[in-house]
Amino acid sequence: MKTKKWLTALAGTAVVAVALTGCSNTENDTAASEGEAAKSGEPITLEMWAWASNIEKRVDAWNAANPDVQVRLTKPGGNEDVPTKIITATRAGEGPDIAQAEYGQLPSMVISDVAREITDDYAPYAEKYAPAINDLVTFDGAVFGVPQDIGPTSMMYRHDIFDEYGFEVPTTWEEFAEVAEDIRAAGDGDMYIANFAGGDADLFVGLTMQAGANWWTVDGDEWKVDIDSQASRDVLAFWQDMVDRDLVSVVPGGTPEWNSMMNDGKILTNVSGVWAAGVMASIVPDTIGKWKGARTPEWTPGVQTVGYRGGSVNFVTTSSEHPKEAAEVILWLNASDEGAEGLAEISKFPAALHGQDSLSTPPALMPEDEEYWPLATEIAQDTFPIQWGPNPNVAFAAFTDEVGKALTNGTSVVDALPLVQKAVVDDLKASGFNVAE
Amino acid sequence: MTTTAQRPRAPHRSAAAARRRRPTPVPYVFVGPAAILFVVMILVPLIYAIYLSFRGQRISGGGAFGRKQDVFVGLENYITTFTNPELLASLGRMLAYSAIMVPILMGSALLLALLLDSPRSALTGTTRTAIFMPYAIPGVVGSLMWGFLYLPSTSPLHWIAEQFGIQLPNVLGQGLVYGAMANIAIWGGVGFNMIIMYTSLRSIPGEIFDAARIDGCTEFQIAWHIKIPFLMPALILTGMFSVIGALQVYSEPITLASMTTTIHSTFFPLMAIHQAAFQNDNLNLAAAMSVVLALGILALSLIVLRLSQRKTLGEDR
Amino acid sequence: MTATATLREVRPDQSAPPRGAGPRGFLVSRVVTTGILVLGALYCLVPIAWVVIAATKSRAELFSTFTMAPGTGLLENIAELFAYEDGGFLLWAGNSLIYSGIGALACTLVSAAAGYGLAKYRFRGRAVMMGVLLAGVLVPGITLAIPQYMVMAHLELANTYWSVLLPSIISPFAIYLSFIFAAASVPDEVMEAGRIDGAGEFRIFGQIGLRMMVPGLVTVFLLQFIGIWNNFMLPFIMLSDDRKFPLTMGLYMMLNRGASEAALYTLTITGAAISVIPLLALVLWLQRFWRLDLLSGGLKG
Repeated sequence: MKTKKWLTALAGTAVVAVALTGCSNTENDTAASEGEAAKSGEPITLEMWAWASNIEKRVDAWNAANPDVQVRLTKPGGNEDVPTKIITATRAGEGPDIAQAEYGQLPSMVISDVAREITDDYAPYAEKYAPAINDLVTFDGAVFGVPQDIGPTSMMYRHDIFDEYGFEVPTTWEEFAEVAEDIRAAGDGDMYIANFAGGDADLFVGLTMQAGANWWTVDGDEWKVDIDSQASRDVLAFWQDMVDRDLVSVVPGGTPEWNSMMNDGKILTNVSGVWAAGVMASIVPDTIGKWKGARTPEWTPGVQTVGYRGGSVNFVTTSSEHPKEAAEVILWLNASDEGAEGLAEISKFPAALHGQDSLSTPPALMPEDEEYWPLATEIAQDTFPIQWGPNPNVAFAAFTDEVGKALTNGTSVVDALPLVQKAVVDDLKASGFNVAE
Repeated sequence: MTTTAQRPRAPHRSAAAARRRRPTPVPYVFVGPAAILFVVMILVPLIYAIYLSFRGQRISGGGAFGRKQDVFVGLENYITTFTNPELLASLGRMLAYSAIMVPILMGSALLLALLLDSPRSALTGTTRTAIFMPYAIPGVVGSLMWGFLYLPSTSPLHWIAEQFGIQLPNVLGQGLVYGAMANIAIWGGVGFNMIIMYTSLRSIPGEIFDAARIDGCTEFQIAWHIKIPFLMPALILTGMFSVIGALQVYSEPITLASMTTTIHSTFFPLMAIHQAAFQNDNLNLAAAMSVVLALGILALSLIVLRLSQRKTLGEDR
Repeated sequence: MTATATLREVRPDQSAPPRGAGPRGFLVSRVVTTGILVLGALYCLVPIAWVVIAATKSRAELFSTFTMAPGTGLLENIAELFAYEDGGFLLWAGNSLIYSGIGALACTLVSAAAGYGLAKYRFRGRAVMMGVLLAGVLVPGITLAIPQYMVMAHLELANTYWSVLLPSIISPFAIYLSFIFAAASVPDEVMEAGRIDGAGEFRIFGQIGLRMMVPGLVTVFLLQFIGIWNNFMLPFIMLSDDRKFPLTMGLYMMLNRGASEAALYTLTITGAAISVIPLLALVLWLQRFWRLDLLSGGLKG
């Protein structure tokens, strides 16, 4: 059976060969042509993975001005898919040179050895950002990313309906609850001041920060997880109370249900990042011009400091064969004055201070609200510092699940906190981190 | 499963033909491409997945921002799989879901197939095609469609009920959500199963029915005593594939999860596997869970096959 | 008399009332059976009708008008859809055609050969192969997804068209179907006759066997085409270049663009409506070729 033996040997070799090569995860076989191009003087092509809308316009601008260093942009997915793809691809040696990540996703890029340190390249640009922003991309004293946009929280409200019924715009959360009652009593009784989207863990990190919570902190060599803190409990208790008294609607955000209610004017305020005004226009086109921007209600009266909701960075990957050029690209794209202005043009709220100053036209959702961006810039100057841990995704999933269960079962959402805390701590320990008790 | 019976060699075979009967590489060439692809695309990844299940990513290098290293962890991932109460709960939910979905799917497909085959029915061509249509719709799109039909503010059913003053229950609420998901799966799969059963029925020779009718059997009796027993192999086949599909339920809950708080991220085992692999960067745990799940499905399928063989062998006697 | 199962003739349709049943009883039962079938058909068609109607709604209308009322935005939606991401939709549609068309065709050929080989020949390792094949149907796709990517990466094929095509070509289910079709439609005698005439095995396969298997292979092609067209997980893992995405990924991207981007419901629905048209057309066209009855024959005994 010569043929059979030969076939078996072939199959066996294939199995062993592929299995062996599959075992290593530190190979870096990027295309050989890239290395060659640098030597021969041909243009270098950098690969960039991002999902920010309209970022291609900025990349095109770079490519037009820099024929030697061309950037090829691709959008492999949304904000939840791309990080995993980056890590998997980089481990397999197929990763990009430049990538986008949210602030909360950056730590996991660092510990997975996917984000490259760029402290020296970044140093001259540090002054372009507020100090708190620089902290967002600094770990253990080293810088790993360039901030692109930020999302300090603000509130938008339906000024047309507020004017019609004479509702007051709340400046504190206490007032918020009072106005909520008024809104429920008005009209057909089908309007709500806000929607409690319990699944929006990212928003609640920002809201609990306002009350003084710090979900993750670094204590020397250890992590300290304090999700189940009094501050977090207070904030969630506030919202549970609103839910119990039917002062807020309870539909998952972004769903057809939510879309429908927003379009019909049943939800009158929306607390989110300041960038939301730019994005919402396409979701609720019927309501364009009917919203106005305002500060997030204060948790502690007199304290206007707020937390964040969203925002991204660009970083250079450890597998890039042209780290210097890649760093140049992302610093120009986000930190340089030209780049920051460009980001403002594509409706981002730039992290760079110069970019914030250059925001001139009001956002699409409220074309007559000339005050919107100036207010946003003011808000951005007074934000809490945040330390993202290595596993926000675990925290977010646990938060969404537990709050969801509480809502479904009719129990208090405050009970979700100890469960989220436990999930996060267990995960950190399982990964091998030291966790302070 | 027996294969085509090989006819006994006729005594008049020529010497040349006898020579050709020697073992040849020909069949290996036929199955070669498939075999190679199978090894490279299924076997090797499977072995790699099993290999991964014994490893893990652990932080080393000290400090709060140490780096992940790929290390051997032995049975740790398997222990986590078996001792995680959430995983066991998701298994229970999966079984509950299957218990609802599979009988209704099979029953509906059988009923429709019998109706299509009945001489009393009209419009069989049109309805048959219409019922098969959902099979062509991708799972995610189907779930999105039904999501719109389930949610109160966009559902025409709710609107109609409201006109009559009836308050429809929340289909995505705790009790009914299994039914909601099962409905989507049934909607998508009933056509396929129905067609398999129907074409099987169409191959029954007509004489049997003539004889039965002459004897005075009603259509119902014919269906019960002749058609259904004849369909046993088809029923077992479709049943098995339906069960395997139910055990791997994934696209319906994932799409609906974003529309309701009732479905959390690890509601079913495959969702937990997805979360571990794609969101938590824990491919190793996902691999261990997958191995356990696959072995479970394998065991279940072997049991069903064994039982069905015994049954059909018994009938042949 | 043949030992293998041949295609039995479809028995003549008996729509005349059977002896002994009165005309009224016949009419009632006819209405009932047809009625149930029609209900089933409506149940299956309503969501599809919804998608088509929803695709006609403009963004403002989608969440504010009655679900089943047609809107005014169809042309607008289509224009916006085709303009999205610089004509990405058409590109994705083209990619889907490539993956599904070439993939299904190649899969059918590979499976036909493999099924034929397994059914018509005896060779060492045959039983093992059959067993392993069946086991292959049981492994959930999600288990293999990332390991398959790793394999592709080491073959330097990640993020290429091959990375989606190669895994699509191997389908244990398709091989199993082909095995049954081969066993049922290609009689040994015909092969013997060919051999006596002096034809080589491969010619017998190409000119005789394959031809006899065609009706069954059309089924395999159809099922594989639908399967690849609707597959999301495989291209999602393998592809990072959005110019290579198939429709399933394009639609998913429109719905999940990120925390700070709006889900493009209108475009997704319009895209979904358009993307199912080729599939439905294919189903309608190929339905006459279905030969799924032999499938169940393979399970006997």
